[in-house]
Amino acid sequence: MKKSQLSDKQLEEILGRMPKIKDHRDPRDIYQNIAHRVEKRRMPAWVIPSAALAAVLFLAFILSPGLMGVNHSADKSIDSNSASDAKSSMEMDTATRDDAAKESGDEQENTLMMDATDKEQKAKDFRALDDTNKYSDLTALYNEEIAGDNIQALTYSIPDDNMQVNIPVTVTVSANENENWFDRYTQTMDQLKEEEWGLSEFYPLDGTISYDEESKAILMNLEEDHIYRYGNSSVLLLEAMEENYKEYGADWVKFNTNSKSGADLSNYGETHQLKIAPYQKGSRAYYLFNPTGERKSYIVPVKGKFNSISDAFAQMRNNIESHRLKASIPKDLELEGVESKDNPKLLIVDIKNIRLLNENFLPNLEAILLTAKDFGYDAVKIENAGTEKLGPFNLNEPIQVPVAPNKKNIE
Amino acid sequence: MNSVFDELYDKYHHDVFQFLFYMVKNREMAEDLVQEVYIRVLKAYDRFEGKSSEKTWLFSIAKNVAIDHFRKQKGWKQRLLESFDMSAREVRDDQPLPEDLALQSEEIQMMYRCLDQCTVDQRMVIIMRYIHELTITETAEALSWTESKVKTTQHRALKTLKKLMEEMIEKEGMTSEKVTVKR
Repeated sequence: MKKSQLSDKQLEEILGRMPKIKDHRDPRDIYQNIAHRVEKRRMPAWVIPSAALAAVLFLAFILSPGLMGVNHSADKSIDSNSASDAKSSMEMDTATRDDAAKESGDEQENTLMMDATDKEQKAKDFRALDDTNKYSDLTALYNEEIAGDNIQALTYSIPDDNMQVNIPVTVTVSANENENWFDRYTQTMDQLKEEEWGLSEFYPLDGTISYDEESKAILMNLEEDHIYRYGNSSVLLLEAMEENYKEYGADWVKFNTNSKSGADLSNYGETHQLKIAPYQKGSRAYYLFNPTGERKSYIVPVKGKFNSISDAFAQMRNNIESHRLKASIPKDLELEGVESKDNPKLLIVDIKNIRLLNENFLPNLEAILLTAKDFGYDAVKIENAGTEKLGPFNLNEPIQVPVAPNKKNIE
Repeated sequence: MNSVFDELYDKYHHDVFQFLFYMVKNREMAEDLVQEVYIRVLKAYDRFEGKSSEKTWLFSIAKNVAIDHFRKQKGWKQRLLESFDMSAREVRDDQPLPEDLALQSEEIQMMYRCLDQCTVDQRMVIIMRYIHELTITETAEALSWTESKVKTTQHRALKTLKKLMEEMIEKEGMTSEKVTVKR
C-alpha cells in the first residue's frame, strides 16, 4: 500500500501559499453599513414620552385591580381615579427622566439612576417571585427567604451568553431528607433555565457525574464525542466544576471517557484529574454583569489576590471591558471598609463623601455585601448613607450578608 | 467617515477580513463579520490601553466575533457536535470551492478542505501563524493564551493536517512532485 509522508515544513510551505483573500467592497460602503451602530445619536424626542406611556399603562394595569377591590360600588369614579393616578405617575416619571438626563454625562451617576423600563422590569420580577418577600427585588438570596421551610439553596456556575464569564446562579429546592446533597445537586441541573436567564445552555452536563467518597473525587464520565473537546467549553467546565463543588469537600475532579481514565479537554489536552483548589477566604471581588439585552444585572465574582477588603473595593471601581464586567463601586463614591473593633465578623463601610443613596444603589450594595461575605464577614454596617432605609434594609442596623448570589426561580 | 475607521481600514482591513474568511469559509459571512469587528472596535477604541499591539487586539476581537458567530449559528452544543464530530470526519467534498480557491493548485485546495477538520482552536492558530505569519507571541496575545499553549496547539494542528492531507492524497491521488511517496 502506498503511503505518502508530508513534513511539517511542507505543510507550512503549502499554508504559506494559501491565497490572499481581499474584501472588494468600497470602505465607504462598509462604513455606511456600520455607521448607525457606532455613531452616537441623540435619543429621538418620542422615546421619553413612549417610555412614560408604557409606565403609565403598566401602572394602570397593576393599580386597577387594587382600586376595584377597595371601591366595591364600582362606579364611574374608578375610571377617573385611575386616570388621575396614571397622570400623576406620568408626571413623576417624566421628572425622574429629566433628572436622569441632566446627569447623563456622568457614567457613574447613571448607574445610580433608574428609568421607567427598569422599574417595570423590577416590578415584573417582583411579582414573579413572591409578593410577600421583601428581598424579591434584590439579586442575591437572603437568609430570611429560606428560613424555616426546609429549603436548600443550590448555586451553579453558568457561562454567560458569550461563553466568557462563569456566573453563579442560585436556585432553591425543598430539602428531601432521603436524598443527599450530591444527588439533589446533580438532579436539579436538569431544571436550570439558562437561556431564559440570558445565559448559555450548559446543564445538564454532557456526561454523568458521581462521587467517590474514598478518593474524595467527583467522577465525570464522558462519551467519546463530548463537547468539551472544543473551544472555550473545557475552561468553563473546569471552572464550573471547581466552583460548584468547592464547599462539598471534594479534592479532585476525575475524568473518564467511556469509563477509561482521561478525557480530551480542548484547551488542556488530555486530562485525567483536576485538583479542586481549596476555597480561599477573601479571594473574590464582585462586579456587575448584564448579558446582551438584559437590564437586570447579575453580580459576578472575579478571583484575585487581595491584601484586604479595601484592596478588593479599589478593584471594584474599574470595569473589566474584555469580559463586559462593570465596576460595582461608583468612582465618585469614597468609601472605606474597616473591621468593627467589637465584632470581628462585622464590617463597617464608611462613606466618606456623604451623599444620599437611593434604590439604584442596591446592586452596588449587594456586590459590597457579597464581597464582604467572601472576606468572612457576617454583616455589614453602612455609615453615612444619607438615608435610614435602602430597599428592604434598615441602615441603622448591620445588614446580614446574603446566602448566595443571583437567585432564580426554577418552578 | 470616521478617522479611526479610516486608519484601521488602511492598516488592517484585509488581514482581519482574510482571517475571518478562513475561519468561516464564506465571503458574504466574512463581510458581515468584519463589520461586526469594526463595531466592537470603534465602541471600545477610546478605552484601548495599548497593553497589546493594535494588530493583536484587532485579531483578538476578530477571534471573538468568529467564535460568537459559530455559537449563534445554532445551539452551541449542537453546532459543535455537528461541525467537529471526529467520528464523522470524512472530508466534505460537496461544498463548492469559493472562487478565490478554485484556480489554486491541487494541494492548496486540499489544505483548504482539511482546515475544516481541525478544531476551532487549531484552525485559529494555523491561520494566524502560517497564513498571517504572526509570531508565537503575537498569536498568544491575540488568543489570550500562553505561548506554550500556542505551541502545543500548533503542533497538534500540524499533526492533524498531516494526517488528513495524507489520507486525502491516498484517496484521491496527487501528481505533485513535492510530496514524497513511499512504498
